[in-house]
Amino acid sequence: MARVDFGGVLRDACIEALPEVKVGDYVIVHAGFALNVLNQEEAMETLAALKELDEINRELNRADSKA
Amino acid sequence: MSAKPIEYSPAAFLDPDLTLRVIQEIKRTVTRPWTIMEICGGQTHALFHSGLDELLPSEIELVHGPGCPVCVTSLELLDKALAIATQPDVIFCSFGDMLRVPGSQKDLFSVKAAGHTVKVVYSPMDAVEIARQNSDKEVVFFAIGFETTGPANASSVLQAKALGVKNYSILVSQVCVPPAMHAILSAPGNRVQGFLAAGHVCAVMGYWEYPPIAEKYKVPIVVTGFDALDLAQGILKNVQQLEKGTHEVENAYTRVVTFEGNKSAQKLINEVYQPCDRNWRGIGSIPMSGWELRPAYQEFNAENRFEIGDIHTQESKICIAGSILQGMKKPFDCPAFGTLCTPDKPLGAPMVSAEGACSAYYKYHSLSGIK
Repeated sequence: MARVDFGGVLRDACIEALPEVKVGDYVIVHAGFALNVLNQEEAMETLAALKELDEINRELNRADSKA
Repeated sequence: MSAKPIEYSPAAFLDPDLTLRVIQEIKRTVTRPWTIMEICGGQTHALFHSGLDELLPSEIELVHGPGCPVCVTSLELLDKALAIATQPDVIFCSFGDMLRVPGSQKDLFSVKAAGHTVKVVYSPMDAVEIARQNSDKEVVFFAIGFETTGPANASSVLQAKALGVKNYSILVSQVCVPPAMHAILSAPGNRVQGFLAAGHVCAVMGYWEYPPIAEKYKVPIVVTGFDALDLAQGILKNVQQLEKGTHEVENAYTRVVTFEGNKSAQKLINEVYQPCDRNWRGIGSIPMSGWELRPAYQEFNAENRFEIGDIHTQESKICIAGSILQGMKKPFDCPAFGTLCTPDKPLGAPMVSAEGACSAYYKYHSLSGIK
């Protein structure tokens, strides 16, 4: 079992299915069971890709307004 | 580009500015009407909670899938649960939202009100602990849910076995998403052209089961998370594919989901459960769409442990939950919505649950009327 902080609420969760979990990891918990460790690098990559999309959008909008 | 990575914060995926910009991109991409289904009831609620449904271009129609575990738990099993819970010396344990789901005659709340012991637990592990502390009682856990509850429910059986807890059993109603997608896509009159696959189901199972579905029915399937930005991204990827005419399986929830899923969790499930046909409330029987206890764990099967008389199920005559769960009708199409059927007095399970489509419409749209 591990202690998980749910945005301020502390509860125990079973980590039977998550042998690799470390103290300080973000986890997805369902029915008292930790299912996955959240991959922070992947999270940052997704955010970066979406921000990049946003940049492209703005460029396109600028191009549109010039045309 | 940036040298120093910014530290991760869970709130980053709720960023309204970035979400709005992804919606802008959806608007820029879409040229004609598309119907997309979010399988998971948790996503239905998240879409309404974030207001995303109001922000999307009118070309995109979201239909709500059957991914609400209490909604699809068969009436027969619920009636069995009610029959077990009324037996003497039974402590019946369940996830909270099952208690108000109407059975043929009553619900678990009314059984509790009549003096029987029905306990809400947060995890099946809590039920095992209750069994350990009450060795003179039979403790039954209503093991409902999709693939997400599989590891916890299976683990509770292994735990009971390891601890020698003989008075613990489970009433199993485990269901699986991919067979339901097959059923929806092959149904006559299907309107679904793309799917948001349920992120947390995929967190457990991975998404290796989806490429054959995408290929067979020529639909894009995008593994999607639950925050506003995740949902917007999942819809964008769907629309991009639909406009291009492709039907790939994409992962828009990479921070949680891998192709293989959680192997340790799958091992727990496979140890305890085997695939079986299952009856879905409102939908009917879907082949190999659920899990049942393996022969080696039949001693923990509540259905074997109790004498349950004949069950004669009877559904509400007005409720259209079945059509709603298959994405054929919307809650506002139901004559009982918000009048005869409310979260306080539900006629059908989708009005009860935090994952039910009717409850989402009632909670977030009760004032806006027909949309």
